[in-house]
Amino acid sequence: MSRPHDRRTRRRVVASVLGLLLAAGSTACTRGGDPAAEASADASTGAGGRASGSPSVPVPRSVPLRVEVTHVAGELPVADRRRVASRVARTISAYVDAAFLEGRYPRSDFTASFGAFTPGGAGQARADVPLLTNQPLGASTRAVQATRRTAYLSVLAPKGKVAGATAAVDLVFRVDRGSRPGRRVHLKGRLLLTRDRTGRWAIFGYDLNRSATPVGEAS
Amino acid sequence: MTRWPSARRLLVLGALLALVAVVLPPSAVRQSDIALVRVRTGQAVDHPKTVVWVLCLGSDARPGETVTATRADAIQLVGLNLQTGAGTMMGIPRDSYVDIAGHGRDKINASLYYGGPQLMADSVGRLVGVRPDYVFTTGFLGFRAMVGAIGGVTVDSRFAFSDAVRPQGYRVGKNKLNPFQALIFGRVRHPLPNGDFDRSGNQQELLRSILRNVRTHQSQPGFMERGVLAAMKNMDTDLSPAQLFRLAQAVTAVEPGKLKGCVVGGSTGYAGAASVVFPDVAQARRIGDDARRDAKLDRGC
Repeated sequence: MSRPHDRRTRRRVVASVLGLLLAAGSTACTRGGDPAAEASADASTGAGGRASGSPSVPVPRSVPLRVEVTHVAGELPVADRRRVASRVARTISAYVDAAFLEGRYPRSDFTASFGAFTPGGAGQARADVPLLTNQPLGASTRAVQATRRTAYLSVLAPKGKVAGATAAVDLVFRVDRGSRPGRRVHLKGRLLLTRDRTGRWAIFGYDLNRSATPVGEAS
Repeated sequence: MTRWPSARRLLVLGALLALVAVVLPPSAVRQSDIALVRVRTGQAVDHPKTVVWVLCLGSDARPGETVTATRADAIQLVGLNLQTGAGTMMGIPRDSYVDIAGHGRDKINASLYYGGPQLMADSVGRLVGVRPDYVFTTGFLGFRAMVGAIGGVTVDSRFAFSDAVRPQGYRVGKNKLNPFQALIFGRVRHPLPNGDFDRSGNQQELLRSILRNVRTHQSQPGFMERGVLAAMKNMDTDLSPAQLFRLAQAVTAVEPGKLKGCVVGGSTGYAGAASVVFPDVAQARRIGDDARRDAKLDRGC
């Protein structure tokens, strides 16, 4: 049986722990801005200028997109690998530019971001706009800069003819929101590509995950 | 409710305090060492069809024989709903005695020999009332090569039985199988209580385990491309490589847990001297009607 003094001491310790945990909770919820901002960003503003509120805000340069063929199932000469990488890069760039980097911010309409997709793929992508574009932050965004852009390709090339490819993408964007805390958006996963009737590479599927953290933190 | 001795409770409190002291930032300006981040995920694959019906055939062709000009040893009609992730497998006993267009009554597996994949699709379609969109046919060696390309499979067996290819035997529950053992798992029928019907169920478990394996490894660079290439080399299909690649990627949307199986029942007997199965046509049609539109079995087998 414990003594009253022990019980008082224990209660104090418990109170301290609870206090610390509550403090930790409030710190986690307030430090670094608003974790809910991405999910709840209001897409109410129309097309403004790129950093329209203050045209003098410098827009940092994005790193270039690096695309490499790393796996080939079948046969594909080195020159053809380079050609595939270059053409797929065009398609991925078109998507990333339209969904994140280009457009006049603050921006609310991202539905036209999927020109690099197959028609059916674009339809599916429009149901996943918050995952695939900067839409959750668009209304409060001043400018977006890509700080990491890589795509490693696994190519299916039976008998030397390219039939499809999977791009393992790793994309990191720094989203400048003016006076509000900036966000680091990380999009990682797979883009599935094939060529359409005209020979153009198009995205027909995706398997991606996305996180957004305050600038300065890793996700 | 378990009551902890007070010394232990104090120890736990102390440990908690120590943990809090370590992980909490001492001041407001310090970046936190821990973070809880919401992650959005999404997956979609564009395919011209929402529901795809695939007739999967295991041919009994021996080396040197054409897989599409022999008899079908395994017959599974698989419906996949690429939108909902549900699926239905209908196993058809190979000895099912049915009408074969232009050839009278015979075992359904003879359709492949008489008229190739088209006639086989026709015979299965007549029996269950669902026309397959694709017919994939593979032989013993092709099946082993494909299973090898994905690193073997793990099946959940309903029965224990022995076979020389697996010294430890097949046990009830999980069995990790190499390609040859997987082939035998889908072929044996004598040790199984209901022979051909249970074998058909085992073939469905093999298909489910292949899907499970593919889904587990699909993010591994080059895995899907290697798998599709192996399938192209070892399967008879008239799909272009690009179409096959898209179909393979789309099929991974189906969840193994939502892939249900039924085996068309029937009674065994003789047609002349041949041992045959008289299929339960009413059951086959009922399953077909249930799953035709959405590849989902609402009313069970």
